[in-house]
Amino acid sequence: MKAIPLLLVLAACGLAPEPDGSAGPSTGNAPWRDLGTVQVCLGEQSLGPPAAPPGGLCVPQAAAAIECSADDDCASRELCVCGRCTVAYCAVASDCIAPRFCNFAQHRCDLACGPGKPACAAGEQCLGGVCRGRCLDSTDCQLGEVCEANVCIGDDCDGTGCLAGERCDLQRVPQQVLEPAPVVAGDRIVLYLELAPPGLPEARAVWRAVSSDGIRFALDPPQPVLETARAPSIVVDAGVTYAYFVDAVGLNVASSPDGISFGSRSTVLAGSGISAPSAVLAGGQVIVYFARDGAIAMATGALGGPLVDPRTVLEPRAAEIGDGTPGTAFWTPITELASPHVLLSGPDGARTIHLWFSGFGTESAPGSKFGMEEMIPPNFSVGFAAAEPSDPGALAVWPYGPVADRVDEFLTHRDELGPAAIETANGEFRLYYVDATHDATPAFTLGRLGVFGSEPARN
Amino acid sequence: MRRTSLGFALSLVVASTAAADPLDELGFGAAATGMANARSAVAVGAEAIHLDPAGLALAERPELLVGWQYAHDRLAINGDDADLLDAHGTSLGLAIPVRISGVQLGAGIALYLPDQFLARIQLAPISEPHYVRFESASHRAVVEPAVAIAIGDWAFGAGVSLLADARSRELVFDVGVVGGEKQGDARLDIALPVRIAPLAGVRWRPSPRVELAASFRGELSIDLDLDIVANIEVPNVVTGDATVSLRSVSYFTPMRATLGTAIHPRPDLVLTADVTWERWSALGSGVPDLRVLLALDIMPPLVESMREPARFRDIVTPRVGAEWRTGALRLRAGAGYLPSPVPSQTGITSFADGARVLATTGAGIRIEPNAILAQPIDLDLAIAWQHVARALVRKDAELQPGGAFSSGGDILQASASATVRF
Repeated sequence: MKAIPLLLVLAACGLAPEPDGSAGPSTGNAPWRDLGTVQVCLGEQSLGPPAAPPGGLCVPQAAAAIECSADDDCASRELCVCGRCTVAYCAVASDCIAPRFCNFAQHRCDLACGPGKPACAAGEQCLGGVCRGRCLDSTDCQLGEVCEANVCIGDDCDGTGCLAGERCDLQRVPQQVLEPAPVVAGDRIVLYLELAPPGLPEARAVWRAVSSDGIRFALDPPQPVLETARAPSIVVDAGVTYAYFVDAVGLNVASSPDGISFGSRSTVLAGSGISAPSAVLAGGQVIVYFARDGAIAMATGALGGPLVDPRTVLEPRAAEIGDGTPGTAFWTPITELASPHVLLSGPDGARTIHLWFSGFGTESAPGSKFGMEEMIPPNFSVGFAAAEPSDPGALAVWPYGPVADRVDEFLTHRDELGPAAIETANGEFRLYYVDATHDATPAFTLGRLGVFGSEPARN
Repeated sequence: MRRTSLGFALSLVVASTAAADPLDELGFGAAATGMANARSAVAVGAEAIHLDPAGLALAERPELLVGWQYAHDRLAINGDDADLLDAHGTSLGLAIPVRISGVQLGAGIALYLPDQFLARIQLAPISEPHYVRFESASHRAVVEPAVAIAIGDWAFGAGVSLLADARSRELVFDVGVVGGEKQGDARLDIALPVRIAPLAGVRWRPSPRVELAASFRGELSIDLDLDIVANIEVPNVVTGDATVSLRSVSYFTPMRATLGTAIHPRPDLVLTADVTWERWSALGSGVPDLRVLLALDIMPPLVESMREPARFRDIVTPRVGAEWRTGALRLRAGAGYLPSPVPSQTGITSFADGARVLATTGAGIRIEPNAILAQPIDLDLAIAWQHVARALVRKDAELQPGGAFSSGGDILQASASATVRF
């Protein structure tokens, strides 16, 4: 308290510590920072990879969760997961956010303790390098823990597998998530996305989720907003939300006064083979990019009205960069383009069409492993192109290769599907994508929704 | 380890800062601030050390200048606040004249000490729009010792402006797992060798109504020269060395030459003008050279970083000022036009900048010797306004498709100082 008068004097003199300068605005291309996994909650459970089993932690039969809006609302070992306090379940390292790490022995996010690390919370002990509570029975533990040998532990379960007097509190359920379509709505981010049950990958529908931080979303409403619909793209004009999406007939549009209840759909561009539309309002017309036959095509028209002049505007060959020389930036060959996502961005007077897309190609020269050359196979990465609104078909491709491509352990390039960007009010970009890996068979193993942030980490 | 491959490529490409001397921006003492720094032909004593060291020999008595300056940036990028850190710091100047056999000699030192840092080195991503000349402009210390001699109507001064580089002699980290235990060790030996830029000035009073001045300052910068070696040993996972070599130039302060004149149309009025040439073209790349050399069991393919020459232009900045004395009061005003040395940023770099218009005003009062004071004290205040012209840059579509940024805004300054004589 004695420091307060001194700080006031220093502040009056302009000598008090000041916040550091923040990073400048991003161009929306580079550098991206991996912000990790996006949590999409349906009720109290988050959506996990479609091929992963359900996951959760055993809790006493009568245990009840406390509602929360932030981690600070919860007890020391708990986190705020889908609006309630619980010890967080994890299956992979990226499920936990630092300083917590995934304790794979118990499938829970844990806080490390020991020399040089922060002390455990009051009433906890540092046991085996992690903070633990002591207990006589499970009622002494935090939600997501059970008492074993007088220690609160995590016991993972997949719906079954808990002891008598316990139940499996599922935190994660598998769900196929594809084609995210985020929209900035005031201080919230609304995310439309295509969901399907893991056992019925073709039973797709468009859902709507809402978030205040762009990382933790809750599905709202808890049912689809567009049934038998795929790959949404949202345009908001004069308070009306227009959803462009595809179904068996072709490319459709439906409108809604609240973004939730959509009216009847009308087909604006018929034909099969159309996928992943992305619409933007520019120059008094709506421009819709979409994927077709492994390339990116475009059509235009009045907002909500029929689209005309569909034509291919970016072939895979046209997106190739460089000649593959090691040490140079390249992206070649490219065999398929998919999932375009369009945004009108830039300062007043110079707003241009920014288009992100997924491209399947080779962007890396061989690496080496223990002295042996290691080929890096082609994969889906995120590319970028831009065009003037007056000539939206004349796309100029980012000349330095993909703008985002994740790498595990130096050499493993994961796939990024369905890129979708937003620009927040403070000039930051978020780039959502669906994580995937691929082998020859099956084509892809879908992961979860992830997000990059444009803000460089120099603050 | 998970990261975007861009982390291996473009994030290695970062831009450093280039800035005029903090005292060129803020003024050394409120009298200089109030006259747009156009005082090289009239400054004497402590305040002359930075403007024209020849004036150091023209002080009649030892004097101490103590001042404090504040600059508030209201600059925008793409219409949003660029959120630059305000600069503020303390100026100290000491002038000691000595008369030997009719020859006036002077010695002194000018110091500027920022309140927040001695210096601050920032390397921003190359494509990120940022104010390369303003974001750190006034965030470094200035140390300028000087000597001078006055003979008749002439005076000559010389000194140096001091700064330091940062060079690693040994910067090695050993990390790994040995016998199942995490190991970490470091050896650091970083030198900060002194950098020197010469200062020189000459002053001539051809008539009682006219004073002329010429001054020169050499180029100065903080050069970063770091070789960081990480020896990694995690058996059966990855072993080897990773070397990161960083060469950067920060606080590039160009060579400059100034011609100044002062005219006294009336005994109570002085009109001044300074014209300064600054050699920004010597900046070179403006982008640091950052190289990564990996010798690991597992090595990702790396992409060479891009280095574009900055192609900054030399500039000439005119400044004018006026001071009217009425009794103990001094009223001052000044103006200047400061063109931008930064070329059109249509390529990969995004240096925000713009031509500036400068308007200043100030006032001072001289408290004459009295029953308490043995010598006069000058108390001065000044405010300044700089307008940075708005610029809208559209990138070359072949280099940065869709790239564009706008910049511009204002910089507000205030300065207060006291000059005490002994």
